[in-house]
Amino acid sequence: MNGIHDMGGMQDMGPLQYEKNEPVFHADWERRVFAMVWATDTPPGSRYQRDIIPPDEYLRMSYYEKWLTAFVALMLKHGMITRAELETGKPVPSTRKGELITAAQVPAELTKGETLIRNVTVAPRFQTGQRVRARNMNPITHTRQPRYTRGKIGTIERDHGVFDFEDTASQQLDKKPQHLYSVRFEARALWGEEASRHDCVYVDMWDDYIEPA
Amino acid sequence: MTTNRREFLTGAATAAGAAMTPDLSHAQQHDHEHQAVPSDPTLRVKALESLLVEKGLVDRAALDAIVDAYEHKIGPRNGARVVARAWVDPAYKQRLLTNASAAIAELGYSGPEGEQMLVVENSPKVHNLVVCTLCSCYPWPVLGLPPIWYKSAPYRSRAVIDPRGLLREFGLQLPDDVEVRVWDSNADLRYLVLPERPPGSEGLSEEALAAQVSRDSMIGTAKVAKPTARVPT
Repeated sequence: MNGIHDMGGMQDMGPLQYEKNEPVFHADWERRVFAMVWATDTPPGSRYQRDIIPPDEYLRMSYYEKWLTAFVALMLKHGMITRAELETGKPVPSTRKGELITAAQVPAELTKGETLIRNVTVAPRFQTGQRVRARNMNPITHTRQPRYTRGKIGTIERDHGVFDFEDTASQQLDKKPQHLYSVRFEARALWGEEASRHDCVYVDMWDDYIEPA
Repeated sequence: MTTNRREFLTGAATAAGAAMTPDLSHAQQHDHEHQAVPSDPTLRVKALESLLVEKGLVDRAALDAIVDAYEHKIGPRNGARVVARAWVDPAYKQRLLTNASAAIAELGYSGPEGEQMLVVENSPKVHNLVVCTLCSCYPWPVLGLPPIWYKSAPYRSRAVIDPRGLLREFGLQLPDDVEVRVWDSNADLRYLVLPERPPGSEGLSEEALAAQVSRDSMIGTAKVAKPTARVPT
């Protein structure tokens, strides 16, 4: 989706705000939001829920306000909670629950992570060193192809292996496992002759994002 | 909204900074239809947590354990140990650059947002910088949770189009002929910069080296400072 979240290359977003000795959290409610999102077994789609926060609110909200908003929206969408429950605070049985993580399970979960790389044989469509063009796509759903790469030519630098395709997996559609590559774009290919001839941007691109150039 | 956008953005960023009292007065003035977070997140979040606990979706003690881990155990000291080990052990460095996730796991670090790692090495001719233009992707097991600036609009927007200008704001001026490589963590990979070992650090122990390595040097917005303390024996 061509949303405000897809910010690479935008200008005039203001000066950097650097906080020295920044704490991990700035308020107790942030701790709780982070941990609830971490611990709750929600279906995929949390990133998309953040992507679709209206642009003016997206820019105004703090990071964990965005998390909170997206978290509530995702649970509502999947019937894990209801609006009535949010308003009254009185729980009714959920149609969808998910797995509960207990305190005893947390240490193991903290080091486990997800298996992202897929142990399946899928032929790569591209080879290292090959020139490719980022396809011009404008899906209204979640995508990890940054807008600034569209139509631009780069070079395959590395094949990371086979990963689920986030664009479809995030919608609970076919996971479409396919090769993910590191594609090097020269800064001048992305931004024109004003950019440094020494600089470049590496972007991770699935097979479905690119075509031969 | 359009008349004072800069002021508006600065206000939002400031609110997200040290004081962290989310400034929602703008939202109230502008009569937002979509507003999903009322003015006091504290009460809202408490109510939500109670509801989820009662529904059996979360366990309060588990939440406490998660917060404790990310506040006290999972942070940039982990990454600093990885970097220091790579500086003193060439075989480890080789493993780190060829199979980062496994090499990092050798030191006991793994978990969410660190499953597929790539370590990129700085040199006198190459400087690496990591960003997530789409959101906030960051290698949690080695760096912990990202600072606010990393997740902010100014950083995400500029890192790819004006990395040198951005780095100057961090106080890092790179020579024109150094190649700046920006890594957009847009998909499933997470990146850690292996900074250059600073001059004058030859006699330092691995532990003392790790103490020199800053979080920012592993994102690529800083270099590792020259050690000033006396070299321990």
